[in-house]
This record gives sequence, structure tokens and C-alpha cells, in this order.
Amino acid sequence: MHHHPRTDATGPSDDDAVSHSVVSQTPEDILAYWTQERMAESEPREIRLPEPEAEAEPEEN
Amino acid sequence: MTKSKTLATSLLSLSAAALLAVCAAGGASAAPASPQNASHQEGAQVASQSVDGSNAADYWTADRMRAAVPGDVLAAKALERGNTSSAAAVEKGSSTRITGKAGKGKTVLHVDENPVSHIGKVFFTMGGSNYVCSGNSVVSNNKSTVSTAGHCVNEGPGAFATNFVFVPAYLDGAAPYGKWAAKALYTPTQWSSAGDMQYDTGFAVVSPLNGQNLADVVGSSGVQFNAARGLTYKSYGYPAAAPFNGQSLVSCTGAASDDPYNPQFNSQGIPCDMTGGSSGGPWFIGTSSGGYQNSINSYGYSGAPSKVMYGPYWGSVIQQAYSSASSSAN
Repeated sequence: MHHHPRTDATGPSDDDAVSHSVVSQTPEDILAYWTQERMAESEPREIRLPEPEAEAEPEEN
Repeated sequence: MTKSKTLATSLLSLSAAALLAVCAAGGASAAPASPQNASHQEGAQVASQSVDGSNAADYWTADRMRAAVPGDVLAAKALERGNTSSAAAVEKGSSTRITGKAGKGKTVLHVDENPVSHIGKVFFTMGGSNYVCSGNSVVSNNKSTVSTAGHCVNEGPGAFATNFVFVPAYLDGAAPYGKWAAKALYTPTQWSSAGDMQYDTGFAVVSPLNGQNLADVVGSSGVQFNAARGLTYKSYGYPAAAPFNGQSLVSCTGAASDDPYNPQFNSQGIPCDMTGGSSGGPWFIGTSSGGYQNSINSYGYSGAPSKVMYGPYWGSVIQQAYSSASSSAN
């Protein structure tokens, strides 16, 4: 079961160019959450964009 | 151009992964060669021999190949002769890995690395699922700032991650410098509100561990913003998607070029076959982990295997996010 801690102050910070989130959990809570099992089962988070059209692909030398 | 550099570089080189440039000459010789041509060097540790291979193919007739003695028979005979080397001369040295290359059409674009003290894995929860990315300790006022990808701290657009933790120098489940829990996460608003790929960078500020700040324990990389385009970079990460398993550090090195498919991203790519899990791993200008960090692993294109890793251009907006994180209280 996943634990869903609350975060505070989510949103733009002192200037609008930067957003931030202040974590309300204690470090001890976060460290306790990450058991060996959870770490091992974590999924890679990645951005994989659709393969470009074949005709747009640059030629390989 | 803006640079920030730490003095804590003495801690940076745990890895300095002695990549040895090995120029192997010769190889297996097929036809018998006369032993008097052999030369011995440096206390008989290495013997070399010149071989004229022009007649080797002719030598190996079908009959000779059929009659050839299996190599393990020769090895057994060598064992019977006994080991004439002294104990002091046998197999003592540091572990060395030399990456091979796959066959034609499967060029390997990465190198296996030893752990680097300031580079590690990050774990976090987002949308109810647990994820893994890569990150790096960067120089900062609070000595507690970790760089990673925007999509590893915020859904882009959407909510921020929770349960965020940084594990520097991770190797096979071990955390030699401990696990560092985040107390705040930062990213450009263009990422958190619109998922704009130009700004896919995030920073985590971690809490002290055992009374010490992160940078004092693992060191920290200098950072550079608004650098020239087309530089040579070395990127690091912990790819976890196949064919990798996320248990060790990997690097790619190459000259950056613009994304030809989505130039509006303003990103640059280097030859690299790292997979998911490497996201957020640092890009250093030059060819070592001691360089200034100037981007992160951000995205690739589908297709197996991926040949290029793209990273966002670290300009003034990302610099603002860095500055906000760096100057926040830890």
C-alpha cells in the first residue's frame, strides 16, 4: 500500500518562474517508507517520445 | 555564462573510474609461429609476438581444423607442468572493467562505471506509484541540493512528488553514504504548470543526516548555466529498464547536437543508449564527473534501442530554479 503524504506550499514560489513544494513528512517517515522491497519494485520514470516519422529520420553514415 | 564551483572536489574522485585505454595488438595466432620471435617485457609479465597472418587462412584446411586439439587439453597439460610463478607475481591488482562492443548493428553507447560519491539514485512517489530516477549533489549555499529531472519531482504538469529520497553512490542495493530525505522540491513553473520540455529539470533540498549536510559528506558538482551549445558531455545515470537493471552506474560521452525532430524544445542530445531510470542523471561538460554540470538526462525517442539521450538547455530559467533551491534553508 502506498503512503500519500501531504505537501505544503505547492505552487509558484516567491517569483512566478519557480514552483516548489515543502515536504510535510519528517525525514524519518520518508526513510522508513523506503524498504528494500519498495526500492526494488520502483518503476523507472522516463519520457519516451513517439518515434519520429521514418522520412524525417536523418541518414546514418 | 555563469559558473558555480565547489571546493569539495577532493571527495569527488572516489570513482575516477580508471578507464584504461587498452590498445591490444595481435591476438590469437592461427598458424604455428617460431618462438624465437617472441619478445618479453618488464620482468616477463607480458610477452608479445609478431605474426604474419597472410597465410593463416590457407593453413586451416578442413582436415587441420578437424584434427585440431581442443584448447582445454593444452590447458590441462599446462596444469600438469605446474605453476612456476611466485605467489607475489600472481594476479594482484585493482578490479578493472573494460566494456566490449556488440556485433555489427548493435553498437554499445555506454560504459559501466564504478560508483561516484555525489551521483546516485532518487526514489519517490507520484500519482500513487513508486518511481526511480537518478540525481547528483550540486554546489549550493545550503550544501544540501540535488539536481534531477523535472519529471522526477513534478508530474509536469501536476502535483509534486512525495517520499523523495536521494541515495548517493548506490550499488547493488547498498547505500554507502546513507539515504537523504527531501524537505523541499523545486522546478521551473513552466514545467510544473505546463510540462514544457525546455525546462525538464528539478532540484531537491535534502535534510541533514546524522548532523551533517549532504555536500560535506559526498561532495558536490559545480554547475554552469547559459553555456555554449555543441559541447562535449559525459552523462551518468542508473538505467533500470531492460537491458539494464538499475543496480550500477553507467555513463555516455559525446558531442551534443540539437534535437532534429523537436527543435522547439531547445534541447541537445548525445549518443547514448541508457534507458528509463537514468532520467535526472547529470551531464558534465567535458569527459569526467569532475566537470561542471550543465544538464540532465531528460528524454529519448521510442525505438529499440534508443541511440540518443536528450537534455534541456540550462539557461536563465533553470538557473532561477537552482538559485531558489540552493538558497533555501535546509
